[in-house]
Amino acid sequence: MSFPSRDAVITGAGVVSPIGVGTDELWAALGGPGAFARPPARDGVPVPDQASTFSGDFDAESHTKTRSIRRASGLARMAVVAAEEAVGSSGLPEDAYFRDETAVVLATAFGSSKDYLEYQEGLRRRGLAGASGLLFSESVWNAASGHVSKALGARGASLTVVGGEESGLGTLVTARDRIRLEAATAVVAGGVEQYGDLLAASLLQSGLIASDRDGWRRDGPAPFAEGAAVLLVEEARQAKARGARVLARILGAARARYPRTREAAQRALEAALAEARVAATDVDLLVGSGAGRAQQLPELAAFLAARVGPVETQLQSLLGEAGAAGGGAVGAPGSGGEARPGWVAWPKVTTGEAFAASSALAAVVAARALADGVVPATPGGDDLETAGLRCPGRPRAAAISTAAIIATTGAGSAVAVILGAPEPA
Amino acid sequence: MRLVETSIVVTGIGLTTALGRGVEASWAALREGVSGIAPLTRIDAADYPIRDGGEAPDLDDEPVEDNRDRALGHAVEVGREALTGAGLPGVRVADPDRTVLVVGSSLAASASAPAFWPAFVDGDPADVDYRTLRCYDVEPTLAALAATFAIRGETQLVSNACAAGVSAIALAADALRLGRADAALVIGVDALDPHTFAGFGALKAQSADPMRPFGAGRAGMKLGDGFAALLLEREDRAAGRTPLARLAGYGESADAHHLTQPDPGGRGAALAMRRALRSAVLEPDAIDYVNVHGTATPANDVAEWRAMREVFGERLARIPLGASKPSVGHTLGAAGAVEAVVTILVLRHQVIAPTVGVGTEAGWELDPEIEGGLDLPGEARAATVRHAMCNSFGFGGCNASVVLSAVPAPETGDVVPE
Repeated sequence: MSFPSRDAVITGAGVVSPIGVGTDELWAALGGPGAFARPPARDGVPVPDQASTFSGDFDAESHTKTRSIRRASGLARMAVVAAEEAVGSSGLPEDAYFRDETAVVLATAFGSSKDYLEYQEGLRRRGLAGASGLLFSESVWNAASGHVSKALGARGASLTVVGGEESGLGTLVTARDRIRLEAATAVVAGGVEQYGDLLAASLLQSGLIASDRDGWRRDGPAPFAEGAAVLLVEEARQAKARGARVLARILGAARARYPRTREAAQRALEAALAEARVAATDVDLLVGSGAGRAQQLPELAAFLAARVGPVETQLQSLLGEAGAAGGGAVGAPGSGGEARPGWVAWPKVTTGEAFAASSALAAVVAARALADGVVPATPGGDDLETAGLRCPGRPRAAAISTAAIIATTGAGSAVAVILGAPEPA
Repeated sequence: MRLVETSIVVTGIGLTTALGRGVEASWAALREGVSGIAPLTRIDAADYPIRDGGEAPDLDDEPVEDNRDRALGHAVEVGREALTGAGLPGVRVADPDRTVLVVGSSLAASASAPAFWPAFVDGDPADVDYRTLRCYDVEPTLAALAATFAIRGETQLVSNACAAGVSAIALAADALRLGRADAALVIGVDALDPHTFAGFGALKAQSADPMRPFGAGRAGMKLGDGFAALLLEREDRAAGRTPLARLAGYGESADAHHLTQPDPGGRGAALAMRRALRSAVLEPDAIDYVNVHGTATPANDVAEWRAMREVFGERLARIPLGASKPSVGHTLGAAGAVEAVVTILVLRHQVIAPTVGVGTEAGWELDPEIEGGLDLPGEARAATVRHAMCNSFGFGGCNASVVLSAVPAPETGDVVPE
């Protein structure tokens, strides 16, 4: 096996979300009220009062010419549309060479749960002989990535990673790895989740989603959301050779598993920063994947610990006494340097909880912020500087050279990615 | 991030299939040509045309109804076998912070939720405990496995259907090659479940008749439980442990053709094989054995043969092949890990395990479309196997191939004593 070293850059992005289909639409809607409404449900199924869904299957036909996905699951349709936007916006040619060397890595926490559960309900009602072949084939966890590979004609690896919130961002780690190891010259990477009433009822009863849009403000989780977020990660020399517009450079990326989520986040961030050779004090923007203190605390604690050391006081200032009280101190030494003021954004406050798609969407937002030099707005954020961080309630133009994205799950897994602004042409 | 130039060795393996619990039990049955396919006991198939499959023996504990729990129990057991075999004390990895865990699974630790559906379908939807769906337990399952083995490096679960086992090996190897870890525990896991059993039946991929890989008149597969583990280590960090085989290379691809049907020309599968050979820096002529995917469906086997023919040329007819699925059933997302372990056993013992049914089943003959013939032994055969390939293909057009090499490399004609 050979051991080359190649840099990875982001040259395209695509988003399907109830608040906007397309990265431009998403970007314009960030900081707004979102699209939370009563989701569809069968009689008696206790779904949340509010969720961010398409109120039915996503209308993919108006966004794609890929005919083969007409009978595909809603999950696959969202993934294909987001992937096509990511590849289309990157300008990656359709030549056989490029497609042969393009891999697909998608993450999901629940897969095509709607088809999966509908298929299982059929088994219960009609027995083994009543199984639907179509529903079964759409219910397998990698159906969406299979549809994406087919729609794009991509003949690199076609992988599906099943995990928690952080797995969507984790696809950037895999994408970067595959490019460095010459297993691909481009990777379509991201996350996707689909709404279903039984899944929503299950998540609600399990305390993983809120019943309404303000749940996270009451220390709870965010309301459920569906959607897809995809990035086109490309080998830097290839992107440069074909004159592609680079949105961001991947400077560092790391996963970590630790019994406590805070430590997992801290380890992932430290590893990503070390690889990027960037001090935490030089990171201009943190795009957190969480909403609600249970998710925001580990991400923010890791970031502040790396910047300024033990963080409990700062967390209390940023998130309030109630949120920080039960968390315990994080005793990281910090970089010891003088931290310049930084920015924080929490896109999930607007988009809702789309699990693997949310953490990939955070990466899309960070890449866009770097490319445009604009900090996205977070509803409820204010411009008051706390612990050296600002969370703007309105979009703010700012010189951003480096951004960190952190995503975590409550089970002790975390991913951190450090993105750098594109180098001047 | 450091890039390290090191070879990767397999220092521990674990295996549970319908042939038994443990590597030794499985290998003894494999080389004797025993089939673990038998009437099903855990799935009520009395009124279904297919009534058999490859069920693994129960764990020592009380039998569990929920397949997710059963799968987790077997995953822990094969993981322990791999670590114990590698001589790691306390069944914990050597360095928790420098060990990664990658699980390959088709069902991804989900299952048919037997506690939920009767209550939902036969009761009042308003009174159901929806938490019993348990379809969202993937991440906690991964966390439980990491805690069991004291792994604090990165963890992932890859679920690209029947290629997941080999893709898990590939993702683990990525982390070792990039210097992020010194060791990786790879676990392939899929419990035979009504969900997949009925699904493959609906797609006409299962057969009531015995499996006939590459045979005339073949009609499909049997399904089976599969649980396998491999401990991969950087050779320079595995001092004191005995390598069982070397991970020489791996390659993956997508057909980009159809969700459930293979590219009939086998182009995607051939691409994965060529990438694995390129990664291993080996020519096709170096391969002495191929553990085939061999699902015995009409479309899959012809596509696989065309792919192998494209890669190996006319020499394909002289390369010993082995199909493990007639022995244990198709173990889906675990198949790549299960068959990689079988391939390692072939390398260790320098014996080609027979393909059950070939030459012994009445009327068995090779598919006439397969020109030039295949060397698919129906009985165990001693052979010199220096480098072996193991292939897995799956739904979504996923293809994954791995090349494993004997350690130490045997001389031509020099069979390593068992």
